Amino acid sequence: MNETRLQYAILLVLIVFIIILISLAASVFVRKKRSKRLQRIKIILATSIGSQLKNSEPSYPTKIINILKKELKLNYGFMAIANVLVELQEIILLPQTEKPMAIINKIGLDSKIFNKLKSKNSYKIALAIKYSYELGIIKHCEHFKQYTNHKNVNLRREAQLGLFVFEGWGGFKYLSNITQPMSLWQIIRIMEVLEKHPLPASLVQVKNMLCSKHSDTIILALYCANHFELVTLNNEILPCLDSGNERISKLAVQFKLMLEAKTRPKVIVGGDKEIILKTSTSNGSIYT
Amino acid sequence: MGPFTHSLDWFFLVYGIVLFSCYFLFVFFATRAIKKNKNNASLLTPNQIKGAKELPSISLIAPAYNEGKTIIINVQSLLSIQYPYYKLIIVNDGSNDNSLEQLIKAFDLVLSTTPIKAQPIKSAPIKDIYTSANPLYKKLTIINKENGGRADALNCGIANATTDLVLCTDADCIIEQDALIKMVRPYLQATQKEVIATGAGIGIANDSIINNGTLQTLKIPKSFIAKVQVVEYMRAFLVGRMAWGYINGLFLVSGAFGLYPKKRVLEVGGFDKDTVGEDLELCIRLRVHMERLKLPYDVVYIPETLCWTEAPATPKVYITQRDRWARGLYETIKKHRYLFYNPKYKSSGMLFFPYWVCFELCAPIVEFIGLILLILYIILGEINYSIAILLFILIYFIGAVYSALAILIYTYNFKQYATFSKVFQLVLVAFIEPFTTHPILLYAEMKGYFKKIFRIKSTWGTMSRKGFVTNKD
Amino acid sequence: MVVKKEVLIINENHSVTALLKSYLVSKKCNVTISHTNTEFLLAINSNRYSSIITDILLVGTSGLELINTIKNNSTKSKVFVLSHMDQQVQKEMISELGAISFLTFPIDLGYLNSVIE
Repeated sequence: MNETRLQYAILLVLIVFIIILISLAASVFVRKKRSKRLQRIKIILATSIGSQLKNSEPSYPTKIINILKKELKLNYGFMAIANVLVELQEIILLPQTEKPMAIINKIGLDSKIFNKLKSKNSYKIALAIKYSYELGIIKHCEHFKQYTNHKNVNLRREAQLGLFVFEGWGGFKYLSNITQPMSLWQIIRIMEVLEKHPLPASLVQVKNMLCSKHSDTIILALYCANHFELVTLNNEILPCLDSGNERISKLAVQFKLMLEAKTRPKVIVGGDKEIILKTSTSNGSIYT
Repeated sequence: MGPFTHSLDWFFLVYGIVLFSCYFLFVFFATRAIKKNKNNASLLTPNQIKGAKELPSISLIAPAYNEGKTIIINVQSLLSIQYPYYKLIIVNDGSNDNSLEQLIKAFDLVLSTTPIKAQPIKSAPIKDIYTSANPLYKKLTIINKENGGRADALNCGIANATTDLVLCTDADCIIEQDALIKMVRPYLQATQKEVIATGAGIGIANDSIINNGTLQTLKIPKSFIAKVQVVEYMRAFLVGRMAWGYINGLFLVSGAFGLYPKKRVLEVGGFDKDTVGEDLELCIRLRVHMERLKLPYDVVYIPETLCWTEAPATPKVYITQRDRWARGLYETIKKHRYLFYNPKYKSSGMLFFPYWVCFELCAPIVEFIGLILLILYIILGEINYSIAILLFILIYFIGAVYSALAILIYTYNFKQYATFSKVFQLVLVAFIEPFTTHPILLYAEMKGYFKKIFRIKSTWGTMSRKGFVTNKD
Repeated sequence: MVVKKEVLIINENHSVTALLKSYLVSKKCNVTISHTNTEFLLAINSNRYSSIITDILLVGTSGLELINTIKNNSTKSKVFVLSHMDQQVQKEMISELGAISFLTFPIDLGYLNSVIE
């Protein structure tokens, strides 16, 4: 073996390692600096929003608009700013008209999000969908439909959720030909979104879901029936008691219990539904 | 020396190259896995989980044996863990100090009215079960039982849990208050694959400031051997476990912090009382169980550090701990040796188990033999010094860089330890460690194996803890 | 002269405190903020707040300990727990603690106004 050549090779490997280490160390500190800056922006924006909440027409100082515009130009800027806005929105319930739409349009965040909806990376599309529905950009809704049966679990969840957010109970019509499995989280979120919408007069779409071939859509419909106490669906649900699927029959049993509790003269008053539900599921796993 | 030693040389070379390539493959997988976890977290935020209904319920099971000094504060802190459907089960494993009396007084405990059921898993007999008369502590259950060891106490807790999931930990661990909210995410996101175990990063809190049973300020431990373990844990949890989790090859969810579906743990009969490596053994048994049922499954690791513990701060205690781990590994691998290259168990048998045998179990042995051989070569003078020294430098450097990468990946992703001085200290430790504590580790592991091979009786070994520094304001 | 209302906000999240503070200041309240346990222990001593809005989580103390300290130290204040966890089980537990009421995210401004008054 040629010794000098070996020495050079080893030296090269060492240098490569040192370069990797130094560049990683540098990126650690760049990242830390950015997260500090974003934190500052968040607080400035929070203070500004807070002080204007009692005004009916909020107006934001141009200084803040400029800071946001600058940050938006950076790599992943849309994500950072949208995150800040979503987070602030989660703190205080803004009237529907006062969603920070003004600020979104002003800095051009909506078009940035729209561009990401056409991305090839399913994570980025999912994020864009999430920000669209969280920030109430209703014009993006059309683009969600193509992803409802996507193979990426996060993407199809966000797409379906987005449709439910904008269309309420009407969102069920997009689930009729779903073949991909659903996670428990997806069901929980759909339920949460539906809580904010009034019960529709006709439950035909939930009924259709119960007759579906896909077990996960039946499970979603059953959760829905239990959660919103849709007692009128008993004819469709009671056959599920003999279903071969363990999870479906368990949910159907819960429904039956709920039905019996409702028809029986009330002994226990309200508030206990959750406890009953919990104890009846606590003997086994409630996820697949 | 002839052809025999020559082929031995080649064996060492190939072994080394394969091991190091595995390590760098791990770094690659781990970064992918951390990114995936971050993406999931940004679409499923902790705040959303906090407000959700219909979440699976969780029991935290913490065995306590003679922990009277800190038990009240620890239970207080465990009770305040944030999770909507949460129960806390403390199993008093036949302590002979006054922990039970203290608990009864502090939490207004009364004997539970529900009779003790027939136990689905055998454990040492239960003396009595207490619940609190104070509605504030209604999440709390205390099981007072005869002493039977950690695995036995955990089994007893699992058998008496009424929730979907059980989190097994220790009463003296400091658990982040939002840990369960983060731990439950894989269960919520699971679709076809059933999650059979979730683990999370474990950190070392020696010399940190602890207040009311929670971590107030994280500090780097003073003792060198504890510092080394900070680096070791980062390497093991952030790189090793995350990488294995990424390819669904995780065999070990740490005993100090693991979340399991109760149903599956009961099906396999709980923890094994006859091994000191009960966490590794349970995880392998769960995997085997799912393979036999022909159900798809997943073992998930969360990169965030959610549980803090006290690491051995002196070489003596360190040796006892690692000796025990080595014995646990040996026992478990021996028990499940049928997995080795068994196509029935698919990748678990064909790939992951052989890796554990070749590179986890045998690495200390290979290293030990290598050292002996090296000494022999030096005595016989059959050594090419310039090549040997160069190779030595290269290997030393690769090892240190691997540790340094783990530290940097950690600080890149998490805010703990993310200050210049802390990173510098840890990287320095990574470069000194191979000469100082590594030989101690090798000694401890060889000691453990020798005890097993020559059937020398040994127990858990006492883990003497200094106790955390509690900050009283 | 109108006496300003004293409000104490205990929360680790700086944007939550910034938003609430700027809103309450515009509503003519005096606002004190605690982000950490040390700040909280200093602030709670004075017992001069008409309302306290607190999180159940704070670095350096456990939730139960935090609420106990508030209850022992501020006898005159109305205490509100501000949390994401708004499940029935949680509400029950909080109500067991005494005269403490529950405020959930996202905060309804109308409700906040009525409770602060």
